[in-house]
Amino acid sequence: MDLNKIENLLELYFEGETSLKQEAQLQEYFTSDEVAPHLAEYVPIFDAFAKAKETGFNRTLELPETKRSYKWIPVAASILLCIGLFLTYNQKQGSANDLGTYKDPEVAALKTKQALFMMGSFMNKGTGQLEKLETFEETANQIKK
Amino acid sequence: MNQNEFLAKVTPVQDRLYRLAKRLLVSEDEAQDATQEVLIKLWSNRKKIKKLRSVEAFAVTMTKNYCYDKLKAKSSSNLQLVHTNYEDQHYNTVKTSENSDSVNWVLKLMKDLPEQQRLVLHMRDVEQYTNSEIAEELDLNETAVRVTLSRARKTIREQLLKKHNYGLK
Repeated sequence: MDLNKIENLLELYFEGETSLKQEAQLQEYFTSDEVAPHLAEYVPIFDAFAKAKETGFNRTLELPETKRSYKWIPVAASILLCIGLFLTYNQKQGSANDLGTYKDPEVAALKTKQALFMMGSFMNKGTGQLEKLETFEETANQIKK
Repeated sequence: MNQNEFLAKVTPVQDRLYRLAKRLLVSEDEAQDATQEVLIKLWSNRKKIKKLRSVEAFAVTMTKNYCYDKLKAKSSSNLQLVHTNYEDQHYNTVKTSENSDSVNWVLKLMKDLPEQQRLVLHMRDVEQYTNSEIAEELDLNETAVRVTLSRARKTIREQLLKKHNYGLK
């Protein structure tokens, strides 16, 4: 390679102005066997970089076993709980809409009878109380006279 | 990401991480420890890595921070490891040995540079990162990187020539 060019590059190199490509050229020149005597003093610099690059990580890497994560379990449990609560709540609401219709006509008739009897007995209780009104009327009439 | 995928991603980078750690921590053992530690941290962060543009930049930052922490811990506990690479000067007669001696001298000079210069010089001249990559990694602008680089290189040259001349006289 042209000596002038190398000297130029070297000058730029120390100013930090060389590109990576130019630095590679310098590296190549200075690690070759044909370095001009007056530039020989720069050889160790480039040799040092080359030497520094030779070392590397030499241990075998032991990666820790991956632990199964159980983080999602509480999340799943709470979701299930929510779904459960939602369903039971809905069921209760559904029972309010249930009219309690009987499928079997006989049972239905029986139940109706029962209900009507119950109503009748309540009404009789009511009329029983009405008899007291008669005594009230009698006394009222006596006062009027 | 399983182990093999992870190793495929990390193996091309690990030597660089080691060299960076060694540049900062100096001791080889500590550098190996640091690299191992960083790689295991990367493994436990592998889900994050998947989304990253560059695993290398992330790993380099991690290594750098790890080493800084180590250095801080070391200086606060007042424990200083001194690594001397001085070699016996008496066998300077053969040119090759003189050369390798000078190489070690340059490596020692690199150790004596201020941290920032050492990092920039290492990343540029050993690992061939671009200035913009270095700038991003070290949170500097590119001009600052260039200036730092120039200073580091000049210091090395000066010290080397000084030693050279001293040897001659």
